[in-house]
Amino acid sequence: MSWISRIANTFQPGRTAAGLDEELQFHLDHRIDDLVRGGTPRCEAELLARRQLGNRLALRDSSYDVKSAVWLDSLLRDFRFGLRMLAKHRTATLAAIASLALAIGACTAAFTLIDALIFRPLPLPTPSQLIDLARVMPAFFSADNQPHDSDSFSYPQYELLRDTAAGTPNARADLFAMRLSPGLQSAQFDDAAGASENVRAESISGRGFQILGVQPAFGRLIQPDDDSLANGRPAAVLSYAFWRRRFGASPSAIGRWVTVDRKQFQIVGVAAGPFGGVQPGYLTDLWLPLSAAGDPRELADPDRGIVEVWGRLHPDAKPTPLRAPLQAAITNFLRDRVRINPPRSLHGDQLRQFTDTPLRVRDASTGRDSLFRGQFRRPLLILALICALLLLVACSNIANLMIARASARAAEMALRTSLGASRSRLIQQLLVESVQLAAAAGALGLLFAALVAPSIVVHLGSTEFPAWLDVGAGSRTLAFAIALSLLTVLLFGLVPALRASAVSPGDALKTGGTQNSGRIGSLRWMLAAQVGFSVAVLFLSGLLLLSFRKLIAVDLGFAREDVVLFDLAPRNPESHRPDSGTKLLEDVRHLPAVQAASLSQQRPMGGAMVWIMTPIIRLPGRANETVRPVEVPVSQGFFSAMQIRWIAGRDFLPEEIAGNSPSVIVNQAFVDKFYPNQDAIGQTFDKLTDDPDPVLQRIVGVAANVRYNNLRENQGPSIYTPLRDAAGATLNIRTASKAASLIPWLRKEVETADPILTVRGSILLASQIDNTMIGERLLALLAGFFSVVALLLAGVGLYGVVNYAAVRRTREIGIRIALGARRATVVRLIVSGAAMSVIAGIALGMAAGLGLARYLASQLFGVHPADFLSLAAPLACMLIAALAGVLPPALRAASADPLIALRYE
Amino acid sequence: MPKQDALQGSLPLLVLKILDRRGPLHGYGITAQIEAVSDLLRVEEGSLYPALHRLEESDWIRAQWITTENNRRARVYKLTPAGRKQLIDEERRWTSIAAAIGRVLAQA
Repeated sequence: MSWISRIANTFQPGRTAAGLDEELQFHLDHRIDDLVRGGTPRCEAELLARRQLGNRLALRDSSYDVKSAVWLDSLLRDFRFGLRMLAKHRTATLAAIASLALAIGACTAAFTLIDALIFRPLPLPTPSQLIDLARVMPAFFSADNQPHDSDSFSYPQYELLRDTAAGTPNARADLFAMRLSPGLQSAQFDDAAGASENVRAESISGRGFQILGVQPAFGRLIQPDDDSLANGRPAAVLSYAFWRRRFGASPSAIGRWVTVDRKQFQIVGVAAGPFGGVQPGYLTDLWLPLSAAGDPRELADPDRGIVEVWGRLHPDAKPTPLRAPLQAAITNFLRDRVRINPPRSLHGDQLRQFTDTPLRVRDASTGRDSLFRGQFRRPLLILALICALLLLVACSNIANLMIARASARAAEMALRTSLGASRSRLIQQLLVESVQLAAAAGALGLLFAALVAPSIVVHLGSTEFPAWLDVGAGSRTLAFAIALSLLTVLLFGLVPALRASAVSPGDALKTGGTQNSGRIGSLRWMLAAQVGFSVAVLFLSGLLLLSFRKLIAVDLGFAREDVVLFDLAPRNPESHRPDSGTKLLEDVRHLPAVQAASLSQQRPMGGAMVWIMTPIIRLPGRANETVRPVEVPVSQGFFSAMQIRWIAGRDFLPEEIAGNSPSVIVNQAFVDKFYPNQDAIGQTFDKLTDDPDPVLQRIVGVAANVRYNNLRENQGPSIYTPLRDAAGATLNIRTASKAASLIPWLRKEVETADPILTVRGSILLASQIDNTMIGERLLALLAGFFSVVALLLAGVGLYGVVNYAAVRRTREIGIRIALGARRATVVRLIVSGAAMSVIAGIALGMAAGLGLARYLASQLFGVHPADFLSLAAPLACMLIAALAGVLPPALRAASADPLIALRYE
Repeated sequence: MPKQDALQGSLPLLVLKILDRRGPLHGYGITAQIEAVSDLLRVEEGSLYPALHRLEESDWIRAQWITTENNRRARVYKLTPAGRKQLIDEERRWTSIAAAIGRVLAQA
């Protein structure tokens, strides 16, 4: 008989027992017959036969044990018994399941988000073979003077690397190029009657899809012969998610034409299912062939970094031996280029550093580190930390209630022990109850996560940069939820089970299960743990909430209300006029409701999405110093329109905007750094540009510091240069009021004012600023919610334990009151029992919170963990919750009528 | 009559041997057979059935419900090939132990 039949027998105990009975009855009957045949009277024979066979029940049991899986049988019994016990305490069970489900759900949702954003490999075959290339650029190349990875290569560089990698013995890899898009582009589909919509379009080499291992869901993908500089085809491939959203998954999308960047492409197919590009967080809507989408001159330029180089290692190849030949190839290439066309901005050793920059062959299995990933990695990890603490709060809460209930069940345990149940058997029974609780909570939590995770993804994006993460319930999420549920069983079930099963049957039965006089005893440290975890959640959440409050109220140096931003683009490049700005501004300023208007090259508060210009300047007398201020080209009237405070000097004059003027306006930080205690007006410096000769600049004005691109800090030394061309710039319009409702009308007016311009995008300045705080806002929102939950759980947990202790001491309290104890003494008696736990918990929680606070440092703004408010706010909240949990049972106990109390039980 | 303990270890051996010699038998048949062969040994009926079920569990014997001539259902046990192998092993072990004990008794 196999284990399968044993398990089958366990599930049908009736049938198994009946078979055993029949067999024994057969034996008895034969024995009686034989005895009767031998001359024994029948009634005597029956007795004799029975005596010889022995106790039939015991026989049946021992055979049943052989025939069935004993462990499974006891588990089934415990399972049924556990369900009965949980159903008996329905309210407590539901409360426990709800709090645990919330915590497990929050943790699972956080895991799913982090997994989808950071850890999950791209949905491609053998993602571990995927690589991408980058060069480690020297520090002097970046504005913040830090070495950084650059993954931009020129197309000729890519071709060289590709051929080198294909020809390297023992370390072969297939390389291809992509142009990944940082933002959205406007596109017109031929079914939309000329209306444009924003899509994320990326271009890819002809072999790209083949090397990545992407399959078509419909139609075909981009092929090598589509991507040919000589006679390529303008093919376009849709991503599956975009196909469903834009075309309702209709096959009629194939064959349609789409215009991107003034070039026409025909849709030839849809990429299969889960693949939505190589930048987790963003969905690529459209793929185009690299050659057809690019400008041929740009592609032929050996110095212009426009593509990213990706690839797949051959099955037996390793990335390390591949590096050396690629390094040699790129270094030789750069040395040749520097000889032919020496870059003016580099001097001395910088040239060598530039040509010999180390090449890195990076593991690309989890996709590219997008801006999105960089922006949300830390907030999501912090979210996970708070969720984990919340889980500990919920677990310690349930553990408390279970310990309290377990001592009420001491009599039951004692009875079972005296009937022969082993300790392991009791532990098993109690753990089965915990597993049932955790399983129910885990299932609900998974459901909760499946509902919450997608809506968090939506909140991570904005209309301009929609977020896309695959957070569907995959096997990784499921495995995590199951593992987490099992972990919670250990966290909240093990200690109560070990405690409850360690009963001395004699004592417990004698006192009817009320042997301890109601002391909280070892519940104390569990209570302290719960308070501690809650305080840690409150403290960390408090830091996030306080810094978000500071962040939204920060003084930007300009007025954010009632300003509309319009991104302008030339309708077509032929009709481009370099001085379009002046006339446009004149027209717009005359519109009713418009108070002021100006142009700036970059959108204010563009965050990481805007290109920040950091030209090299040479100050007189500091020739060897590389100084890179931020350059912001603006029109005349920019400072008054944005309401930026003037320090000295004047604005640009109209003729300075019109002609090539050397005038610049600098900010206070620039003056503080380079002209301390001097008059900056009239000072001059050289600016290096693409032209062979440096441009002389003369300071005409000084403006106050502003937070132009980043809420968290003032922009460093900056220069404002005159801007004439409206195409490609941002138009800032300050209205008298209600800017939001004026956007459509203003848009029309702007486009009619200058027909060669078109409005590419529009947004309120206030919304633009809000969009830079998405991570902070989300964290503050969730942290606020979690701290309420933690506070609630702490209060409920305290109430449960104190109430339990007070009820246990009803008789003792009755005697005290009868003997003349005052009510206040009784209240003090009850409260002091819990007070030590609360105080210890607060101390532990604060210590843990302060220890964990450094993981939050990058998200904090204007708040320090050791600030008075940071420390006092969670403390006060916790004390109020503790009083709310402890006082009601204490007051109830103190107001007990001694006569009734003494009759208790 | 030997005490039950002495027989306990050897009961499976006897059951296997009888099933080997006599072919398929029900529990009562096995008892009757042991008693018929030996006046000395009496099967403790209480331990026979658990022993049978354990042997069945070890796959040395196989059970089957049959209908007897007087129209009753009886559970009949049959030796399996694995049981036959086990029987040979057990028998050899028993004989060698008995011989060893015999030698000690004769020479001590």
